[in-house]
Amino acid sequence: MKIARENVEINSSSMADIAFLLLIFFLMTTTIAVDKGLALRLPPDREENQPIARINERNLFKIQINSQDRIMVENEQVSSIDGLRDQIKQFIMNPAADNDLAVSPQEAVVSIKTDRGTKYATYINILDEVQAAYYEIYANRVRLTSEQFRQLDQRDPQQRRKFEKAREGIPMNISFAEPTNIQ
Amino acid sequence: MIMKKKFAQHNKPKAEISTASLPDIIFILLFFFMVTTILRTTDQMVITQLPQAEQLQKQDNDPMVVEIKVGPALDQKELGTGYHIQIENRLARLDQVTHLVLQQKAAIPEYLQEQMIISLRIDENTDMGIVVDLQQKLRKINARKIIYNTLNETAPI
Repeated sequence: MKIARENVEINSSSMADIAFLLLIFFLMTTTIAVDKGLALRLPPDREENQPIARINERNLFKIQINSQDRIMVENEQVSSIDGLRDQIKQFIMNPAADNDLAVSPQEAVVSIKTDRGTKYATYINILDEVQAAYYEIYANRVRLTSEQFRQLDQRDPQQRRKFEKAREGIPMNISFAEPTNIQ
Repeated sequence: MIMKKKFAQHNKPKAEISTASLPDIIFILLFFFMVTTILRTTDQMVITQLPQAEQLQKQDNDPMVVEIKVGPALDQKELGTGYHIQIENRLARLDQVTHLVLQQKAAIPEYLQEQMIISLRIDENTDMGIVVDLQQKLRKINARKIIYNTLNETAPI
């Protein structure tokens, strides 16, 4: 026997509106987290009576920034940081065995000295250039682009090997001189 | 008269797009946003307008990250216009930094403590003086792995 059923249906046309409201709520309340940045390892703390290590002048690449955010590279004032990256690469690798540039990449140190009044943004700008120089050298050794090199995942053994191979013998020596007042 | 009727009778075919699957589409969007967002647990007490840089590395978003913010206070009426240091959920004076960072370190699971990363979110107009002081404190307690959080600068073409 057939029972005649009424066509029972819940009207779901407003479901879209409800979902839309939820979506908009989530869109409005979330902020996209910035979790990228310049990674760095600070030098170890200097013991009280430990003598300051003397570094041969030619192994040191000096960058100084004063409180007016003026930049001095190797004791010469520069107006822009274009070309700084290449200059640093030249200094580290020293392909022409120049007597004024680093003896070997192992010993090369890039020193960034800031004044207390230097703007943080200027410092980051310089640090960015210095790191760019290093990353380009590393990436070049393992035939990657600088960007690919930075994205190597250290947890993956194969990628880690590549990372270590690239850095072998060329430590990223960035020194942060204690701040003083630079004229 | 006859012509007019003919026009009026011209019936249109029923053209309707079915909206039955619209909720499903929206729900998928919603789920996507819900899954990909991370909820922040710390309150923002200082303003940090981050600088831009190119050579970015991804920061592990793991429990071993301790966040330090430096910038002008959000509540300038109460705290003045100077620059303040915020560690996780509280404002700190420079001499409290050591203590607070070690406290945060103790809260990290033990096997990750040695890999602690200090994430520095520093306002771009901050003077380096305060940044360097902070770094000296971090060096003292051997918290040397740091990352300066920055925005991505699109390279000029």
